Amino acid sequence: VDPSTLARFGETVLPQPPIDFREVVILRDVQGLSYGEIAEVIGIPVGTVMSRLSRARQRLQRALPVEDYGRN
Amino acid sequence: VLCESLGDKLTGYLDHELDERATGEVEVHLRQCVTCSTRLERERRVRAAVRAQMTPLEAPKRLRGDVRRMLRAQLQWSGRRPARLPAWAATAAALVLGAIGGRRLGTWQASRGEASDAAAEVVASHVRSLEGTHLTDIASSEHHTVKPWFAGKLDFSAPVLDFAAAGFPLIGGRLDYVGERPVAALVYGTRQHVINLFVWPTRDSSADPSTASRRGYQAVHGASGGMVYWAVSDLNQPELSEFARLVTADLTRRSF
Repeated sequence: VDPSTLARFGETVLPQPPIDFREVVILRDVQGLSYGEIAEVIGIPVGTVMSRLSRARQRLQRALPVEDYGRN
Repeated sequence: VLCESLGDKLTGYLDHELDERATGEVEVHLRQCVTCSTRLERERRVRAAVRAQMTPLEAPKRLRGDVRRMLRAQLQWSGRRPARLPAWAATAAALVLGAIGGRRLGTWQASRGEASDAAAEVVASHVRSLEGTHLTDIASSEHHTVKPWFAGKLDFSAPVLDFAAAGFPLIGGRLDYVGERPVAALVYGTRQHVINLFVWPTRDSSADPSTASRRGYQAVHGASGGMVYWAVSDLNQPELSEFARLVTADLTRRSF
């Protein structure tokens, strides 16, 4: 993975999806909130949190060189 | 179970957010479907990448303090008991603030790791007070003017000390926060230097002054007469310690 690509990650990649996607990813994966808490914060059903998060991660996957992350 | 009917459950499964029955369904399906197993692994890496790249955001202490104060005031008004602010509320407030400010995500990472100790925190407050136009909320060299200004803004009587005779004239006062607690920030000057004196009550009767140095600034910490204080400045350590000695002496005198 090109380190400079990753360094620009926060600034270039995440803002590209609509704010709805960005919101759930940040609340879940960065801030560590549960689906229930996210639902409460945004005011949407828990099921919508899950589907939105699913789509957001799919978008990120297409945009990101993530192959080296999360390997044990 | 077909892949389509699995829907977004893969995401919930990855995050351990499914109930037992749904978890079982997903696991059964994963054992027989390579496509979904691969999808799960990819999503896991996306999540890991996000976690690795982004630092959790905390609402600035000042904002958290302000929100708490507003809530308290409102609850008192409506006669209800103050409720605890849930953790997510601060997160939400920070998120909204960030969105309004239009700040980029990259810059959101800055505040963590800093201000982990009291010395770093008061030094950060000191630096902040010098950066903008907010050195004082009330600008006056008269402690008779500054002291009443704090009344009603703090839950304790702020000791506004007068050291003009010793060469540290009062410049003014400011409401500030240390460790989410509202404190009195008294601003003194000597020659070209500014000293921020942060004061708030403590249960410890007294503590010998201790010194610290952060980011090129000096800080002296002490407690006396039921008050704890931090003095912060770019003054040299001996001069700041002399100032702190005056503070300790004055606080001790007041407690009798």
